[in-house]
Amino acid sequence: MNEIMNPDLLSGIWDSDVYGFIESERERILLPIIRTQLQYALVNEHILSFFQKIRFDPDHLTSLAQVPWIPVTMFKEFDLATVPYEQIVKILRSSGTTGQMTSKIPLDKITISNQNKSLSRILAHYLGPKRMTFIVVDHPGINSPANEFSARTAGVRGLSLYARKIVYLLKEEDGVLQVNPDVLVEMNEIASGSPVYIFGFTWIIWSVFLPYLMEHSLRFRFPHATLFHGGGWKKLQDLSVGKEEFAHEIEKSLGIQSRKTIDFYGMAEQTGIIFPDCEYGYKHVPSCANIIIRDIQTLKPCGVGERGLIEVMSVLQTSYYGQALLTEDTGRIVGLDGCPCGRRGIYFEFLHRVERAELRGCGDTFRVKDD
Amino acid sequence: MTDGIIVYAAGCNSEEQFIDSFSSVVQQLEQSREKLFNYPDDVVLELFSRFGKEILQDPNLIGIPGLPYLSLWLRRDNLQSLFSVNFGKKSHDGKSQHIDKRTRMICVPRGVVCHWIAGNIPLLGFFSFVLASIGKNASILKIDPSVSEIFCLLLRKLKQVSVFHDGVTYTGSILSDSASLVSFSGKNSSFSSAFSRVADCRVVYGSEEAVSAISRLPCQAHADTIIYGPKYSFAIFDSEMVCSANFSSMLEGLARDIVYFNQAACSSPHTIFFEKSPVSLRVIGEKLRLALDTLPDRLFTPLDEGTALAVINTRGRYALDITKDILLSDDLKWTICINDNFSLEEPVQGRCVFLKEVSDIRDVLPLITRKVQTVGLGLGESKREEYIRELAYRGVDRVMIPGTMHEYTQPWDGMLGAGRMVRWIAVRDG
Repeated sequence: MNEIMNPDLLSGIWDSDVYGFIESERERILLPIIRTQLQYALVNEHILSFFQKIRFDPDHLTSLAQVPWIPVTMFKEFDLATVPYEQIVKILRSSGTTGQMTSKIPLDKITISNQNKSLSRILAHYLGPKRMTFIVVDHPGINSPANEFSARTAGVRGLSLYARKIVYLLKEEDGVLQVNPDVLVEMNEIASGSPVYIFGFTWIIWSVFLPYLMEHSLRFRFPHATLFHGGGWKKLQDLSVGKEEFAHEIEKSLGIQSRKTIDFYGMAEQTGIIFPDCEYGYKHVPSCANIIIRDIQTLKPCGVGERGLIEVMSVLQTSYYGQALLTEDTGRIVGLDGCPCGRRGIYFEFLHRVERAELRGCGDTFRVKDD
Repeated sequence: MTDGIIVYAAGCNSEEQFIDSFSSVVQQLEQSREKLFNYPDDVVLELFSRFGKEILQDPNLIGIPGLPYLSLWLRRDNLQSLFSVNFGKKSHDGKSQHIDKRTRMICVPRGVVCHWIAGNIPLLGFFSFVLASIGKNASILKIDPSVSEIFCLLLRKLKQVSVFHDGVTYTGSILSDSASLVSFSGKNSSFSSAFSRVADCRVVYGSEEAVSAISRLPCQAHADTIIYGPKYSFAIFDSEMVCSANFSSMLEGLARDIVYFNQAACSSPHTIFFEKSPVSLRVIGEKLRLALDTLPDRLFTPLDEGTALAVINTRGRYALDITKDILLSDDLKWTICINDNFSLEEPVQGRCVFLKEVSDIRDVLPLITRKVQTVGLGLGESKREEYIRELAYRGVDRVMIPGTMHEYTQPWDGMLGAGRMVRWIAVRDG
């Protein structure tokens, strides 16, 4: 249990630069941490059952690739807490984008603290050391504790760690998102004031915010701002809109330099780890995490350049089994340790989410429709 | 898919073209089928049989999924059996079958058969075409563009074969010229309606959604519609079989049934029931694992990504659930899920099966509906006949030995499909 887990377990992580590991160091430093965490994870009956069925013994773990991964959707069906109930201070409920059921992610104080620490360190790499005004292209309800935790909430909460002040540009009326003109009038004042950073769901920025600005012939100047955006790429891809065109439109409407429009990849189940694009368009893996791209047929780790499912590994959580989560997203490793941006370690790119199977043909569902 | 009707360069069409009406295709097919009608039945069967032999020797065709089985199915003796069971003996060629002393009946083709071919089994359309052709019908096959190349190759090959019969050389062109291959979006209601309207007989393979939509399309009043809709298959073994010396070879057959077509066929088993015996379900699972592991690698074709994801999630569910058990390969070759939920599990496909124990094989009977197609039956002789009658009464269409679940038999889905594609003409002579 984590009350006896060594609190200094992650000291090697915090002592190093967030993108300071070369790949051989990552394996050497993360492996003993994860081995210990997996031993503690056996208190969860589901994890114990899992390890027994696949005959896995954490004591015999010799590489990060051997860590038993679970599909990220399992948080919708199982209680994967690895601490006693009384230590859980918060349960994230994430609807995600792929189904109706809600993921439940139990957090204890240590996990929350680790996640916040990690996020701050990642953001500092992209925003510098000072806190700034945080402009959110979403409605205030998205961050309300009363509402369900979605991927958008995760983004807003995570990035707000760096905020001096938060401004929400949208409002929700009858379930419809629209620009809040009352807030928009403050934008020029905000632009001329302290430095800002902006966050929004990619599809919402594209389909709600930018059309409004164009329709009302509004343009702003945020030459020093950074815009983080993520999610909803499938809809943009359906419209043949790529990262470059998106960044170009942002530059036209908000005056943000294209290189400062940063797409990032992340998920509620791995809060604390986000993967923003670097200046060269690649995503880097922070020191507390690892990425393995797995071949979708063999499930073996792919080589550099090969497309496969993204597995996100993390040592941040003590309160649930998040050490190795296999996502439904595909990506490919671009290189190891050699990105021209200077960040060390694996760098990769997100490709797209795998479309769920629809049983077709003569061998489809057994269910009989009620109608 | 482009928003038009693609007619592929095969069969009666020498060049690929885009059309917006089927009239020219039907016109060509009407000419071809008149010639076909005058060919002796034996020649038709012999041409297909010759084709079946030659496809395995043609380097251009190697690698087509299911080709060895197609070749086997086109054996002359099998074709003769199919012909006899569907039409009786010598019913074509103008020769009649007598009903009584004064009345006889003649079998004639329905005309142009339009086939809506599901995309899950690459060669499905070819089997359907053969059944239509032995009844001397012309065929328009609406196929998925992904299998167009395979079909074009096969029809071109068919055109090249020849047989010598009663002093005359006949070529397969008469068969290939009586077929046309088309693709268009099923969502295009105008093309779908036009396709349906030209049919003298409609043959529909597909999911519930697909067959319902196609059934509602307008058609000629005389057109018959043959529906091969969504079906579910499973297998049952009784305790006598589980404890018999044959059990391992039965499981080897079952393993092949699971792996073929990546379990996407209507005849693919998804749930396997075992009657309670001294052998535990886990041990049976281990035996099935062995059977799956010994199958040749070439049978394990890549899963589509959505199916792979469904298998991965099912594996996660069974691995984490303390009330369930699982055996799984390191890759996605096979997945054996073990649980005691008494049900027919929803198909996951992707070579993922569900093993369950029942105290008596009769317990399974109430689960059977008209949606069950094939039951792979591993039963000792003592119970077999009575059990088959029960299965049949409750809705099962086919009862097969494990290892033969996918054999394309006639009848299929409770029907003699080729027989449905002909008309019977009554003739009173005196």
